[in-house]
Amino acid sequence: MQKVIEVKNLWKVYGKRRARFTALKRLSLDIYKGESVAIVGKSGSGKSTLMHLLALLDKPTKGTIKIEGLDASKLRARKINRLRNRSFGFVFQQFFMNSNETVYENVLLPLKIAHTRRGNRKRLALEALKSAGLKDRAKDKAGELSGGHKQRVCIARAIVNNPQFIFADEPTGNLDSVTGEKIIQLLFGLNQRNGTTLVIVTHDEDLAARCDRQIHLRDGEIINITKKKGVKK
Amino acid sequence: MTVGIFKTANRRLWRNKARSFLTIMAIFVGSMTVMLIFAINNGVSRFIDEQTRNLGGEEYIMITPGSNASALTSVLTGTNNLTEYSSRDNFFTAAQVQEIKNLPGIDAKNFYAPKTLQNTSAYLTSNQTKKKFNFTYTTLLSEDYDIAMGYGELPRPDTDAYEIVLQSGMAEVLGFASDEAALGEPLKIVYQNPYSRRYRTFVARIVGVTSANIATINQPIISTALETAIYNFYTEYAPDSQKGQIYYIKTRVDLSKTTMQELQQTLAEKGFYSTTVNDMMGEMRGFFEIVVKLLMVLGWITLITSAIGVVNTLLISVEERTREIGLNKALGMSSLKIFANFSAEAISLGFWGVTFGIIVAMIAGNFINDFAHQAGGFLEMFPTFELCQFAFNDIVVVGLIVMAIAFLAGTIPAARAARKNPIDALRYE
Repeated sequence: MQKVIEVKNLWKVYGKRRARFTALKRLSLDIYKGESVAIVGKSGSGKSTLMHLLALLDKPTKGTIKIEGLDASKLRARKINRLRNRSFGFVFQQFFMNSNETVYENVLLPLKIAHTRRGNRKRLALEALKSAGLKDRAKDKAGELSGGHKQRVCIARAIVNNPQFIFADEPTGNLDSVTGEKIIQLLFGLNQRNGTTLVIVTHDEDLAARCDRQIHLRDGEIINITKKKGVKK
Repeated sequence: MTVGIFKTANRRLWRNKARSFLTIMAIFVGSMTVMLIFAINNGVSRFIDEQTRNLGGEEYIMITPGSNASALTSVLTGTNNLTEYSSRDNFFTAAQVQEIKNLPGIDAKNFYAPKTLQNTSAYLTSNQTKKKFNFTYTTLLSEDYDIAMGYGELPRPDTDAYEIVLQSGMAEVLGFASDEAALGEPLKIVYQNPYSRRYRTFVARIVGVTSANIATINQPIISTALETAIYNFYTEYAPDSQKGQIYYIKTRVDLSKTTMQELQQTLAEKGFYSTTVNDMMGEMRGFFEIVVKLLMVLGWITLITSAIGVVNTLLISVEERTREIGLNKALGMSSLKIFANFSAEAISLGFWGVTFGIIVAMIAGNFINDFAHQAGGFLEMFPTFELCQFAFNDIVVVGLIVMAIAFLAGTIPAARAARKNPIDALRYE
């Protein structure tokens, strides 16, 4: 199996002196291509911080992160932006959408940033909306949708650029169980069909149990890594 | 792509209609003020230039043997009619004329040393009045005189006819209903020969009336044919020594060869007295320039105040859109692009403000001009004085400067937006 993310001796410290807080300690981890990984732990255990570092949204205090063999600390801002724009997809618990724009415009955002050509934009956006089951909501205002549909918009936005990675922070956190299940199916469907690597931060044990591996964090350290039953490695 | 940025920027501004509108209003008021001041500056300096041309242009100098030049007058600078006494003869000798003509910088092709009459007894009258008026005249020495005409034309230089141009206002004194009504009418000019004591009446046709001006030749202008006739009649019995006397010289100066100052100094050393058009117009121009400069300062202060409005509006906008900025950055938008987006909003605010400002200033300017020239208006006396004149260059300059100010004001909030860390921005509530 090909290693796509390699993390070595990662530290993340916030604040200085008395306000100093160590969010992650001595953390090392490999993630393989096409794998689904759940990062679990109590709140304050550092799981969101870890995901932000893996997704290159933040910089570690110490340690290295390699994405597809490239050391992130040595990449230029331009290259990192490009990586996030073309290879990563993000799903956030609080959705983070432009609520006064339409569903279609929200989904289009990564393509606009990427300067994708107009013709391609439309095709890709419609495909993504179709996969997320939002085909007939394209012209609705994003802010007027239900929670489940909002999360679908975020997933459509995350997959519109056909990313190799999807980083999801509590994707089912704000949803009822039926809606949550649909979102989970959507994510794993992508993982299965396109070989997209999934990194999911979650409290939800059901969701975590369906991932290939679960990384258990406590106080910024990995305490255990468990594998999905029936997965041979 | 650039067009796209501005489209998006304007859509964002439209989202916050009230706030954008108020900021645009502030820029609008500032731009309008500055534009009007530019226009007034233009109007005033064009008017002063026109006045200068009335007196023959800036390159002209008037030289007299030793006493004050008095043929050129200006209302503002004042004509006291007292000329300095000189023990020297009050006319040039042929040698002196030649000496002046040979000075460096004197343009010999535009050198006028007219034979003039002195101590004449003459009067002017018309069929419309019984009154008689003292008559002195001037002729056009040069085509550089660009005299603003109210009605009719200047005397044709090659005509044999006796033609006369009156200064504005003279016609009514002479009994005509108005300046316009006097056009084409005859005037009687009566001279007495100093030797034979006989009178001769010259009948001149009024071919034009000058428009009212601040600075002007305060005398009727006559055709050269009429001047020659008067001269011949007046000097008919005069001894040769009294003929062809030259009391003043008016000449163009080639300013590439000398400065006016140098020339005036040289003339003074030789005992001649000289006056330039700038000597007369300088004070007036200086006065207007100071007034316009003060107005300019006020205009720019207004604009700078509105720039603070731009900073404020965009700072609020940056705070409001912290999450949106964070999301855009997370999805790979560069800091430079975010800076550009906010700058585009700032420039758009400037653009709308200055566009409306210029349009309204032009409407207001036309209104002011009409108002000033209507019956009883404050510029009624000066029909050629268009107070507000909008030059294309000024419009472009004001437009660009206002947008540049808006852009500079926008850099503070735009830089703040660009610096935001995507994670902090996404966490921001």
